[in-house]
Amino acid sequence: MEIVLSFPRHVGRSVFELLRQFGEITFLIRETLLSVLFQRKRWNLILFQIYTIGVSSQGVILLTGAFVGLVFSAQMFWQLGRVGLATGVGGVVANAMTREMGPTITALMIAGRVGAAIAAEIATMKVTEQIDALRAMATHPVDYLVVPRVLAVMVCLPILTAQAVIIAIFAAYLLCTNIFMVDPSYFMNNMVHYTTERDVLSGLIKAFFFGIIIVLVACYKGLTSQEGAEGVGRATTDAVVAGSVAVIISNFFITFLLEALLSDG
Amino acid sequence: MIQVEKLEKTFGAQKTLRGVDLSVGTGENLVIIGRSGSGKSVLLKHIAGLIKPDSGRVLIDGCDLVPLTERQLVPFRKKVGIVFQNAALFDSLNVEANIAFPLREERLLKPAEIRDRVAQALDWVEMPGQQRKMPSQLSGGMRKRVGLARALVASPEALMYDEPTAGLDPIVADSINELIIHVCGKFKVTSLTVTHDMVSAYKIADRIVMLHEGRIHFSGTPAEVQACQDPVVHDFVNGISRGRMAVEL
Repeated sequence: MEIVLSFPRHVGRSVFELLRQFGEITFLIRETLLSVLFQRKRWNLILFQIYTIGVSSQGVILLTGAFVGLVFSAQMFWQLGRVGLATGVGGVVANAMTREMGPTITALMIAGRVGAAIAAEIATMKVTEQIDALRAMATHPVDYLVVPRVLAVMVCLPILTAQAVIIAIFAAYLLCTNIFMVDPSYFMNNMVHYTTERDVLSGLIKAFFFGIIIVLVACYKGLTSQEGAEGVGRATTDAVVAGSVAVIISNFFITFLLEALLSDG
Repeated sequence: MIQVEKLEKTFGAQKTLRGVDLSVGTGENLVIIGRSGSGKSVLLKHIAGLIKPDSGRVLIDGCDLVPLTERQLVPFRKKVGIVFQNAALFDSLNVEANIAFPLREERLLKPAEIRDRVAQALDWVEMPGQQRKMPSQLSGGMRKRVGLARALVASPEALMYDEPTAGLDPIVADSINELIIHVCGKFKVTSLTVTHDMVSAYKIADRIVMLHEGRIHFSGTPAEVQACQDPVVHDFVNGISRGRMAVEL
């Protein structure tokens, strides 16, 4: 009987825990929004975070973007080649990268690199009483720790996404025109024809929201971390996993929302 | 200046504070003693407004902190400085930036004035010229001194010390005690110290209170504590583990 009851009890506890965390994140979003609107901005911290999140992430984003572009264009060339549409690879790569793959892959890389670092830093500050020290010195942790990171990522993620998309398309162009011998004018013409301003805007708006989601989840996990080294480790892992899952799930809803808002019809 | 009324706090199944009543007068140097896990640091964090109680009141200059939000607590936090057990220095900032932190946040002084105030605070804690060092380059005693300098630089009306001599050798511990007495006398601040180091307690206290089983069990001067025949107080101050406070191994 105990075994039969333990399963629903476990499920109930998990659902309750999920709802509790959702509620706490909602309060964090509210506090962050109020701070962004009404509290003074710490521009030196924002610039430092732009450097940490944006400038320092460029290498990994450019490398990832280039190889995603290479692999995707190769796959598209082979698949489209079967139906005699190999010259359309430029249009497919450009459209897919700007709308979906660019923002999603950049966000996942940032969730791994920046989300983990943010959660680990804030969790360490929590377990070593540095956050209590901040509060004791009349500084709100959201103003000092969360807001500069959120504002920085709002700037950085769309730029990083644009860089990833550009390098991916450029890598695809080099591969297709030099190895697969696609006519460069076909590649360019299809790319321009099938990729509109709306696609670019859609990708950049997604990146903007993905960045906010990643940073808020990482800050939340750091601020609510448990005591000790184990707590810091768990907060870091949770930040990456929850941030990545949140990006993938929110992508579905943002895609539909943007389609409704930006569609011509 | 500080009043605590019927303060209760439970963590999970453990009832840490069971109705603490405490009053600290302006300029008084009060020491709270008690066994490890008796809730001394928890009480201190309640007074600093860092933890919300389950019930009871914490009053600073007559105003109850308990119902206030984080932002409403700001003016009270400027009145009360706290020196944390492990100093809680910001490890990404050097000594100067750590001490300057409350002044830079307040944004009332020019950079040159802040630098002067930091140098002065380092002189107070007998660490002149250490501005450029990182917290990781400091010993335990030095970290506590920097923590004290950071608390002092904002000119608080009260200072709270969480285990100021824990983990320090007797000589360094004595220098910290001297510093606490010096600061209390020089700046006329109300002082509230949590410790289980009786040498320290006898040296710095005007009055000692003992926290036991979540309540204030005893209150008196250092001489009264030494003369006290209450078994709980007697066993604690004399470090007797087989008496009323027998340790369960």
